[in-house]
Amino acid sequence: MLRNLLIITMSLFLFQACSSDDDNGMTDDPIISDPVLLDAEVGGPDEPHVVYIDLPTATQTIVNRDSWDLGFYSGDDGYYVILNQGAYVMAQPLEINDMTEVTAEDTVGMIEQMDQFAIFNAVLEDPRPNWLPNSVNWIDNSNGNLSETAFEAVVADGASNPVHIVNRGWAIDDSPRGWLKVRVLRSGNGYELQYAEIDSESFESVQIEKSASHNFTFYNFDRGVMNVEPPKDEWQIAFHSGLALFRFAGVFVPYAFRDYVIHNRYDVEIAEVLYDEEDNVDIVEEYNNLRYEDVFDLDFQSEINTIGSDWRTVGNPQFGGETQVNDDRFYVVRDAEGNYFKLIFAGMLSETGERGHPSIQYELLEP
Amino acid sequence: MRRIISTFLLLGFLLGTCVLQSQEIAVVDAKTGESLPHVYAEWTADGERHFAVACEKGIIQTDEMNPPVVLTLTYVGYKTLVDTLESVPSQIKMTPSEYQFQEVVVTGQFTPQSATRSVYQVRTLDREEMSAYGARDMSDIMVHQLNFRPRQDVRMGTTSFSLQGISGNNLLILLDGVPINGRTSDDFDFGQISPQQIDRVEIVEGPMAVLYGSNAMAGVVNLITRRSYEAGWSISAQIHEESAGSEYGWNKGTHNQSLQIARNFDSLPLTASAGITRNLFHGYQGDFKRAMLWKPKEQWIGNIHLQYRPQFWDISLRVDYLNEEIFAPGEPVGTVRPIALDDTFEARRTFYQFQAGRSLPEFGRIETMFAVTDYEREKIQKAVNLNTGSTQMSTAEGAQDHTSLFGFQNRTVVNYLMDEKLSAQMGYDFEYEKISGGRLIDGHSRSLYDLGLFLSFEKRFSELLSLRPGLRYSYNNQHSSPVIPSLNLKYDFHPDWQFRAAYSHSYRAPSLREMYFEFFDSNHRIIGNENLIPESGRHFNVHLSNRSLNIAGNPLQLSTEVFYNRIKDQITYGRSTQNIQNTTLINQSLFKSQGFRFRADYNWNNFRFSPSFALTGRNNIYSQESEDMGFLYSPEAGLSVRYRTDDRLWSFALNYQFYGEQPVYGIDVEDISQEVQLASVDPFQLLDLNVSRKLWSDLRLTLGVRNLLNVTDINSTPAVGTIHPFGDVEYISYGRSLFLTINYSLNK
Repeated sequence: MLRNLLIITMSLFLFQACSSDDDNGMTDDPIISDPVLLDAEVGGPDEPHVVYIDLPTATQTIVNRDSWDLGFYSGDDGYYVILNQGAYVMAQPLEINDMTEVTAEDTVGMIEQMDQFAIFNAVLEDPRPNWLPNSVNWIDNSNGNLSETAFEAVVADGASNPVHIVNRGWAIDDSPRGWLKVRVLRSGNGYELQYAEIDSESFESVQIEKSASHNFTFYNFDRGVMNVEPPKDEWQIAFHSGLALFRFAGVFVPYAFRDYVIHNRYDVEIAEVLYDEEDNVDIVEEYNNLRYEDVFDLDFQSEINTIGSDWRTVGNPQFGGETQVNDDRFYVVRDAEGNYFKLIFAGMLSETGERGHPSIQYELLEP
Repeated sequence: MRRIISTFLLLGFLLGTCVLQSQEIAVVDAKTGESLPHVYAEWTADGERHFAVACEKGIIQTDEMNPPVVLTLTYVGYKTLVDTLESVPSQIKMTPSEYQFQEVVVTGQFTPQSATRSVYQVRTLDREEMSAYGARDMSDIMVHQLNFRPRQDVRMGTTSFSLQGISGNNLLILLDGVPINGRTSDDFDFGQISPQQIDRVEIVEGPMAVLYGSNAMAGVVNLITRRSYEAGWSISAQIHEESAGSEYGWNKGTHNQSLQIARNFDSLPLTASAGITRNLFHGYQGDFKRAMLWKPKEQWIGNIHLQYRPQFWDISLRVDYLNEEIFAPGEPVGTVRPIALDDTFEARRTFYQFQAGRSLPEFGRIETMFAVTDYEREKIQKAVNLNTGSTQMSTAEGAQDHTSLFGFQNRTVVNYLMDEKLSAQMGYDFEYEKISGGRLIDGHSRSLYDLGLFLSFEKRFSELLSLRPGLRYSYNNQHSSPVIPSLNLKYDFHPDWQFRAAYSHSYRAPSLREMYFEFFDSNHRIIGNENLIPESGRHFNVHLSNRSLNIAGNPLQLSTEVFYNRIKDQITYGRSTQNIQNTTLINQSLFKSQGFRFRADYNWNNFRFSPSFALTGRNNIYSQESEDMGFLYSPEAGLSVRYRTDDRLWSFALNYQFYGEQPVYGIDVEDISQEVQLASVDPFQLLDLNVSRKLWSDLRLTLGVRNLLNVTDINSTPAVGTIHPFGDVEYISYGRSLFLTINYSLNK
């Protein structure tokens, strides 16, 4: 179970190495007050890893991005299921509430549609297929709003929870992960997960508990419950390659982003400090000049994709532009404890010019 | 018929009066003393206008001439002479005009012949005309030719052209009659040709696919190198210094040098020549922090040429070498930890050609040619840590690669002059191409060969009417092999006017590059398409021109053309369905272009004015389901002015070209409906001026301004098939720049 979980402590310190008695990321570690330059170990050009970063301790938690399928919400305010955008998982509900009634006939046409590459090709077709605008509903809203997930919210009335068709997406090695029919019900203070191959007349049933310490309980259909996210008060931002909504040639579609950054929904908020591109400010100087007093003028956002892909531009012959770390902005992160960190994206290439080597610099702001 | 009758009348008149009369004037060339036949003379006596035409011996009968009288003599190719005669002289000398109209052309001809006799419409730029552009490289000259619309690729530092709205792929470029299209890049780059090494450019407007095969759909540009020198040594050296916009200095601007040496061995029919050119451009940064908008470029261009011409034979061996290095520094990627990716593109091309021709008296001529092309292109990417300055080879995808191309061509043509009225041209061409390198899909090397057989006849039905039907059969090892016909007609319906019409089919199999090449750089991701099918076209044009009209005693030459092209399955760029970020090559269902061109040359005193105008309509039908949106027209206009003092010490040139708004259909990325909309590429204009002064007899100094109107970039919307955002920019130039050329030539 721990195979995919790897904890790396303090990959790089620019200004000083900080002493740290690594006791598995307990929150009473002292907060590093010196500037930190950190290389997120996303794993090179294909970015196979999701990297969760704990700013106070400069700790990264590294997980393969295809290590789970579904996440079950642990909060007290509802019962929700999220999809692993990192494995390009997609889902849509059927109007059937009985697992055994679903057959291959109920999925006719889906394979040609509910798939990352199928959507990609459809964008290019002329004329575009009518189903294309529906594709936004097959992934969770990238802003993290749980009322806009692809899965229907799990309701108390068991009979009302529909069967969903799930495309498990693509593994890191580009192999397809298969299709399933899935139904989720409430069960006690947790969930009952029912799943089977589409044509199967029987199904598996698994009990999933809510977690007191984590935002979600993550489930892999092949391997069961997985450790993915660190405890909810031990990370603030994550590099999370995978599907997010992208306005592409006029339509919103799921698009496989690299370098995508999300933040923790558990009391973390982020403000973007944005300058007019025309002003050509020296962004590093502006970042250095920001003081604790300045953060109270900022507009903090809770949408988990506040950073998203906006921190960089990828040059492309179709859309133009130069590949760059956007040098008109940096960020301020407020963690669940109320600490403020200013954070600037430092770089995105390795010393040998490869993509998939993002780095951040950040610093605790003290009164 | 009328022409014949009038010719007889004229002959009768001349025969009847040529030798007998006592009062006569002999008209001769002021330089050579040769007599000039058919000079037209006009004078007024006793309130009556008289005229006469000189006979073959250049003698004008002037019986009614009672001095004092004002005599006007006009003759094509000579300055019009107006003189008040106190007495009737026995001889009058006429000076050749600055600008020769009687051009001799070779492209597509049975034997070199006057352009006015050719069934093809051929336009010639001679050495003098080429020097009037103060060109850095050949593209500066082509930019001012009507219907050659330039496209600057600032990423790669290349300039390509479309002709009649047809892209450069369908324009054939010949060097001394041998195709040299750079098949590894998108289009032929005229920037890789040094004008110092070119003696004359012949532009054939119209299809020549039967004679030259695949690429010759829109036309042929034949770059003809210098072949004849005076006995002894000839030296020509040139230094060209030019600013890049307002930037100039040791490490800024353009610094070009060129040297040509030739030796004509008097005792042998042998000429040897060699030349070397170095073009150094330091780039222009524009708004970038570290990258350069216009990339620094250094070229070394060399050639060696041996010609041996014993009786009836013409044998030549030529080697051309190009080494080009383009440096493209990258923008900083990163804020605190910036890394930049610096690209270097190196191209090396060696082009060997051997040609042998033999005139066969009473039969015609046979010519054969062998050519070998060796081309290598390398991309080297380095990653530079801008904090530490440390540099490493980049390991990013597509960062390094190396492509090589080997080409072999053999072409043999037999011209058989059956009788005065009928000649035949037959021959074959064979072409083999092999490309290999990291850029190929799957990394395999690929090869292609192509064999063409062609036959054409030229039948002169009378002095007035010629017809030239032709056929070509081509065999390609990967694609089908059709037979394509062509028919050219020339009809001189008036002594001064010529009418030409051409109809031709064409056929072009996809090139290796189009099928297998993967082309990746910072902003190109072009992937070949193995499933391409050949293009087939139909081309039609009619052309009307005159030798020389006499307007107020000055010659006026007019030429006008109407053209129509229709290319089925045209190979063009489109989006890859495999990966949105890639561009690939596709067969567009149908492409049509039509339009007309007009050009006039008017000589007045020491001036020559050449206004021109063209209207080109294009119609792209993307797929069979696509709606026919009709033709979209864009105008183009040009004006060139030349002036030269009588003593030839000073000369002045103005070159102006206006490219009108070019409407295109495009898709706005931000538009939800994604409907095809009408958009446009903005108009732009280029104006160059230069003045030239001859110092002593061997040295010439030229000072000029390029792009006087300071046009740098225009808004453009790319064509259908690319999902480019509206408001894209097409770069034209780095702005107004000044140049100085010093040219030294010893002997001619």
